[in-house]
Amino acid sequence: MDTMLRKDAFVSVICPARNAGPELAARLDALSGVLNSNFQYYEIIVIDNASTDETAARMKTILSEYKNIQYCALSVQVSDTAAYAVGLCRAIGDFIVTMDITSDPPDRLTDLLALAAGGAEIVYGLPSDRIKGATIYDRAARLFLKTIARFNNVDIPAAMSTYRVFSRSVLNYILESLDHHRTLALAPALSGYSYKSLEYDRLCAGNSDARRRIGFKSTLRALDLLFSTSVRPLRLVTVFAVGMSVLSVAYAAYVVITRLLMENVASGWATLSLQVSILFFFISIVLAVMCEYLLQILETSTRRPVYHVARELHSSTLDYEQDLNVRDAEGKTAESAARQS
Amino acid sequence: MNKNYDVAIIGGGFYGCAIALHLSQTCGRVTIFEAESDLLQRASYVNQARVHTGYHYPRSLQTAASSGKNLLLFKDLYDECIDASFIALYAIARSGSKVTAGYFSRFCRQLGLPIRPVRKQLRGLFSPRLIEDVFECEKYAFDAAALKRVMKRRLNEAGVDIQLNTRAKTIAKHNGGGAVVLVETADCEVPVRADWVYNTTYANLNRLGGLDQKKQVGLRHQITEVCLIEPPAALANVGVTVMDGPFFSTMPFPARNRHSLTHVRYTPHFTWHEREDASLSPDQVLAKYSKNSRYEWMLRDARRYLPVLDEARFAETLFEIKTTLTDTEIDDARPIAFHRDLDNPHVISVLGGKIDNIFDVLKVIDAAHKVKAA
Repeated sequence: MDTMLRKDAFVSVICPARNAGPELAARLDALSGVLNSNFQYYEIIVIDNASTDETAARMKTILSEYKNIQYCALSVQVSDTAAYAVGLCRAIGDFIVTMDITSDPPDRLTDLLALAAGGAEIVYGLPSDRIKGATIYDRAARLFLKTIARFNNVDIPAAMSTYRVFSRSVLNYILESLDHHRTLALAPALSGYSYKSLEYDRLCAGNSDARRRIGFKSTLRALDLLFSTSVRPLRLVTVFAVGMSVLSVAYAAYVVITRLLMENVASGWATLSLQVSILFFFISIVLAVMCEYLLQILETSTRRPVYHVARELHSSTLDYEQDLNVRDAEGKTAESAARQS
Repeated sequence: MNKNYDVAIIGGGFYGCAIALHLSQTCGRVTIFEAESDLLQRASYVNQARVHTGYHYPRSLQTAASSGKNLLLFKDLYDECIDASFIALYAIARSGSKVTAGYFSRFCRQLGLPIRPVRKQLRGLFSPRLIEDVFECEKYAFDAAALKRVMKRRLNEAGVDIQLNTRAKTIAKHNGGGAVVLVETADCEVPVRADWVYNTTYANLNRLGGLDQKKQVGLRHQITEVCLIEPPAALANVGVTVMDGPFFSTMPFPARNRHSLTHVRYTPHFTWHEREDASLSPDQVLAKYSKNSRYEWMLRDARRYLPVLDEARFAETLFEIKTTLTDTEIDDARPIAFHRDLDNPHVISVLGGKIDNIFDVLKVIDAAHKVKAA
């Protein structure tokens, strides 16, 4: 890596831990070593997601041995993304790193940060097994992320993990929306800033492997992300409802025509059918209108930024010729001399 | 025995000086032994320069109430050292605060502390996402340099004998009553007899030889860092405290004409409880400490709440020991320790606390001296 982060850049590393086991100390030692030798200013924020093992006791020893570590223990278990969000709200750095302390290698941190130093506001780590599609889960996750990215009209590498770096401006964007704890997987991308990615090998993970499996929990996680990032499903319902109402009108017309033209229509069929189709027409209209209002309420209540100003520049022209009373040796005004140089 | 005093005071910080001044009115010959080359050099100088008005202790009503009472006395006596020219803002953090804005304003009104909603242009300085509400309060800073001048002048007028560069080593019982203090100057050691001896050495309270070791006060020391900054123009006239939890405070520091920046999480560098057999004195621990500034941490956290701090310039940083009693960690209360030596009741250790709480100590001292007279 050619570019390196300024040594005085401040790096915040956020690592949630739930029952991280005895390796926690070794992993934090490695992480702390990397940060300490590369940066003057950094902090490590460990979020204990209501561990039931000896994490708290282990952390106590770790805190007395390593500097710049902040430890927050949550009282009840929350989702992984919510645990990250706890750290995001506390991070004070210029660059924010999120990592799974049990499986993301600390020694690749400098490479990720070097990419960030090169101008990328977001850097995604791509685990090599996810790229290869080693397990069904990996392939499913990639497919899901690709779909959801298309839904949201954002550009992400489908193989990304939670090993990421982003700048303070991205963090500010993320924290603007109230539901950032749900949308975190996609939140940096939603900001629209440019990204780079880096392939890395996962460390052999202890219990975090268990989370990477297709099952009830991962399905719920996926649904949660789908419905929290995008309002497309709701839009779909509107479209569907409008379609239904059109069909109902068409059916009503069919019933009337049949009743008028056909001879042997069973008595009561036309009345019953008309009744049903008119009812369906109204229900569909009500559904469509309510969906549209719900959309607006969602947008307001999550306070997701409607727009985000990435950069602001102002015109630097002068609206009048400034004639300064200073002349240099050649008789030109200092102003015009400055403009030539 | 070449010297004889009625009262000997060990430690020329604010508490030592104030006690000397007070006792010189009733007790005859009073002397102060100060190890440094001037008075009020240590914790009396290096702190947040706050004169407490009680706003700061929403979780300890007693401390808050006595702060309010003592403020008036302090203002009366040390008016020329007080800087009241700035706007004091208390901002309540939305998340992580132990009090809410509603509770805070109720608490202030209950105690009769003046509190107003903040003016608009100052509210705009705070992050609306992180700060629930901001209040303008009445709070003062003291000028440690001016306080030193005033103290010296008054001590001289009162005829108190100030002995600088003089370190007290041990205290021993004297057969004729009172105690003997062995003091060490640059070139010699001299025993000094006094009827009453006050130990006001703050962090080094337990380091004086000859006291009954077992019954000493339990002390908790903390190496603390106060950063001094050139405040951004918008804050030149403003002191800000974010309540009530791991937040920060930036206030005028009149002695250097700058602002102090302190942070609940980063100002305390490390804490230890003093053990009887500790080989290093708190001063030695401080001298050995690496003293790497945590300015970057403080500033970066603070500017999330107060983005204008981005324009602050780092000036210098001050390290000092803060000492408290071991049993006051639960709430904010910082009662002052007053401890009479068991063997020798005329030897009294006083652990200073906040600078404006001196009056409570003086009352207790008066009571102690009166018992003797009767």
